[in-house]
Amino acid sequence: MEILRTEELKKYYNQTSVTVKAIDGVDISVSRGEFVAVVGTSGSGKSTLLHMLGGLDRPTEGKVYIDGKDIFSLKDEELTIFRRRKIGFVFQAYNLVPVLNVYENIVLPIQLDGNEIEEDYVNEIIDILGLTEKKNSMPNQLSGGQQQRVAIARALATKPAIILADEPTGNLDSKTSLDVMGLLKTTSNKLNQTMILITHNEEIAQMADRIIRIEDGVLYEKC
Amino acid sequence: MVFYMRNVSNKRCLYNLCIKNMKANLRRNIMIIFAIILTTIMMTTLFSIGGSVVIEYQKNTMYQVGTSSMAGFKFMTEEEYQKLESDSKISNLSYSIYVGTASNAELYEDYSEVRYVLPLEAQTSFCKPTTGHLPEKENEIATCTKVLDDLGVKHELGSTVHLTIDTGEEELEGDFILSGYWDKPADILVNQIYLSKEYQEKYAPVWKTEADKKTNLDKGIYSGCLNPNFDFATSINLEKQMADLKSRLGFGDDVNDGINWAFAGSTIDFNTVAMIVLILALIIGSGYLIIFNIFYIAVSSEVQYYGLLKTIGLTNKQLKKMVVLQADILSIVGIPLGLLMGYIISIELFPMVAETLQGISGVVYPDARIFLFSAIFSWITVRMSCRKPGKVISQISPVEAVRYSEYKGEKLAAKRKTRKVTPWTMAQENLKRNFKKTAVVVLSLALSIILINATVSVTEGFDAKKYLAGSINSDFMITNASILNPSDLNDDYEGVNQDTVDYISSLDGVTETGLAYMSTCVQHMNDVTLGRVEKFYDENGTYMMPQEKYDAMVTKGKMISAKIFGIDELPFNELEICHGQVDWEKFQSGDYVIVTHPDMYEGKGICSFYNVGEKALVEFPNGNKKEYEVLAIGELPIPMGPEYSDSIGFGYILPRDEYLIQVPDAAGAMKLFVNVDEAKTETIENEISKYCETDVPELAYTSRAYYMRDFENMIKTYLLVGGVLSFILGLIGVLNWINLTVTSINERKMELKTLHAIGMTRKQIKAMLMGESLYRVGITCIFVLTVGWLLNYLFIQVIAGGMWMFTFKLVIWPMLLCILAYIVIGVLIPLMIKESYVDNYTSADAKLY
Repeated sequence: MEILRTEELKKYYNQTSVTVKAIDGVDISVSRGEFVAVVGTSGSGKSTLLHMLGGLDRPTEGKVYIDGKDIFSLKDEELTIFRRRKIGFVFQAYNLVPVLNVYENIVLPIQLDGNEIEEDYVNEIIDILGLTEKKNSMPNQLSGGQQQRVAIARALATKPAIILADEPTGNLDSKTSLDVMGLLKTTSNKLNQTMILITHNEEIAQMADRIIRIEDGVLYEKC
Repeated sequence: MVFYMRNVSNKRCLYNLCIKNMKANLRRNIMIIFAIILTTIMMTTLFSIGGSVVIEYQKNTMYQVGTSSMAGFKFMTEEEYQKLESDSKISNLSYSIYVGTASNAELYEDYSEVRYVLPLEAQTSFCKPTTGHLPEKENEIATCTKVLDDLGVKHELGSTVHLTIDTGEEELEGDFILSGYWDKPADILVNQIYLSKEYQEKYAPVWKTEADKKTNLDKGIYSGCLNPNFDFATSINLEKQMADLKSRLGFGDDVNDGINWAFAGSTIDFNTVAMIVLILALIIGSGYLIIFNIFYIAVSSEVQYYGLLKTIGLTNKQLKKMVVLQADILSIVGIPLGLLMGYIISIELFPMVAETLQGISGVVYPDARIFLFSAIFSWITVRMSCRKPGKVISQISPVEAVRYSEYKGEKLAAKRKTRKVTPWTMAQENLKRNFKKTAVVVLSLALSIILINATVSVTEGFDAKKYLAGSINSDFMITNASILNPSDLNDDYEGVNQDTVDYISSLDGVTETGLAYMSTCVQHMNDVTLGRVEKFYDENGTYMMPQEKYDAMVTKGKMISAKIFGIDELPFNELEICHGQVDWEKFQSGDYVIVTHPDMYEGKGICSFYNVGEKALVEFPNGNKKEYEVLAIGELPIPMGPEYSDSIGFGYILPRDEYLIQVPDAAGAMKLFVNVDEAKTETIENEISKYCETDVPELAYTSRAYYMRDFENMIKTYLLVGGVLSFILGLIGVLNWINLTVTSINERKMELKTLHAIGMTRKQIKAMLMGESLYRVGITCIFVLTVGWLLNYLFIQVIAGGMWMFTFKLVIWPMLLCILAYIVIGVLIPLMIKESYVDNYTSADAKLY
């Protein structure tokens, strides 16, 4: 079943005389439970693509459907709400909220939505990610790998339709990177989560079901 | 290889870096300049007004003393003067010889003394002819234009001046030729009329010997006494210098000496000094708060920039220099502007302040010292403000700075219990991150609230009734001008005659008139009252009356001075009764007397020398005696009495009819009180004013309206000064608040973007920011209502606690109003900030619209 699809997605930046084509006519289709890696050199447009897939940035042209919904037909506030229900983000810089403890960071999207927390489910994720001991710790007490695991838990907590991960191991050493990736993959497998991951690390990309290469805003798919 | 530390010329390079950095942060620098201007304005205003008050007080004191000399003697003989002349430690010696007082009717309102003076004395007593010269011939005269105006003489040399002089012994009369005149400074109380040496020697020969002095003083005559004035080498500790001089010359206690208190340093009392120091501290503190805050925030948001400069080789010293250099450049722009604006503001503000201070003309002196002090203090404030930021920079390690992480500098707990996350709870947690900065904002907001509340409390506590009661008890009061002129020593207590009463009563709109008569007479005491007086004197100390005088008069002579009043129903109704019941009908029968109490009775358990119901034998000046029953113990309000008080003495209040039976030769009443129809107050005031100025110039009047205007002006001034100060404090607080909000958003840009990305809506983010704002108001509230309440009370006590027309009143509405205003501002600030901080995931800063 298709969970994400783009149609002729384009993002152009107008600079004084030249038009920079960050994304130039991208069509992707991702099925439920699939793990897709997007690779490309820096400046190739992979982050821009991910931001548009997540509704953080509006495209110049084209459409993004998530769970059958044309997300850019939504108004700004609706889009934000859609995002917190359907999309989980994992960033390179973890981006935890420093004033909230681990547990609060994880359940933040649920509570922002005003929903009751499914304790069992959240505890399961915390357990799988090995964060049970750290539930009440503040982010500044955690190592990089631990912080990223919290970010992953946060992305999973709302049972989103899709997880978008932007270089989630970019700030970690290689051993921790593999640990985190392993956890990310097992968890999403276990919970049957769809995931799109941006990386420039071939080794990590190899863990994906499918690799998409992007160069100068254009897609080259390889299986 | 050896490295030499070389003194390289890098000023230019630093300067360039500075300018570039400043240009890149224009908005922030404009804010700092604005803050510097504000601080300087406050400094200049304080120093101009404070400085002018001090200068004017000193000048005024000199005017009151009547001389700019440091010290002087009074009632000297020529012998004594010659001794004084031989002393080598004094300088600028000069003298005047007293002839008498001018007794022309036109001069009743203007007490004028007649003297012979040396030219130097004329100069130091501010009465040197600016046109013409001092009298040289026997028929010449020199005086001020005020006297000439009173006498209706043209300001022309050679004019004839008709003068009568009361020497205490005889009345002299004659026509004189005007040889010189001058404009008397308005604050000089006594007018001077100068005559020639020849005239003085003829009619008031100078006292030559001790014997002359004794004969004259025993008769209460001063005519012919010599009054020298002189300077010491320094004005420090004049008392001791004077004592030394007297012992050098062998002068005893009988020689009447005086030092000029304008030099005593006591012209500014402790309260004024405390107040100036307090305000100065407040200004420096508030200026520091805002300038420091902006610098500090600037530095902490540019840590990476400074770290980078460090990695490429700038030393700590150079970095600190850069901060200081920026501060100096901004000061060069801000301070002169502040000085100018502050000076203009003080010119506008000072007349209002001056109105509440007696005898201050309200002219701001453009003294260079004022600008110098203001500039220095402002500059010190700026320099102080950038010390800590400079220190912060020098502590940055280059590596750390480049990697500057968002958690740095925030002290958060390692663990915390989980609570429900809402925008509000997040706001609470966020407040803890920059608590120091929040504290600064809270403190200035709270201070502004407390100050305005204290100001309003003070003015609300000023009781118009109390003020008026202490100043006037009827719509109008008419009396002889000498009573209202504090410098006139020959008060006429029988100056209001029947013609005046008839005229005033006939005016349309007058509803009620009442008279108060007064005479003084020595009373013989019986053993009971003598016992009470002695007990009172023992308990209250000898300062009440010199021991010798007391012994002679009271102990030996069993005598005491007394005032006897005769009053109408109008003043009767205003009596302040402390014991007994009064009733006009009963009082009017003529069998009763109301006895006054000594000034010091309060708290001493003594109310009067008589008890209610006792008999009192009253002796009148013409020898009459009558025994009355004491009806009550009470006092005429000060504005209805003679406006002076004996430290120890009796007072009897009788009804007017009874008084006139006993004192049938009274020339007139002391005071006439008039109540009028409110609608006609103005026309009546015009009539009375005309009457007292032209028809009977010896009379003067005061009115309730006059004192009411006085009162309202005073309140306005307090509100204005307090209001301006607290407005500035509040403004500083709000500016800091905006700054804090904007920078705190900038500092956690990434965090806010993440929150938005994971699904926090704009509305929720706004709610969180608003929550942070409102919690700050909340903390302010808590502070104001606890510590602030005490401070409020303290401010009020310092400002008004000692004032007689002040009654403490609990005022809280200004506080509540301010808090409400701050709540509105608290909601507005986050709304004022562009939402672009969440817009693009990669760029954009928070900016004010």
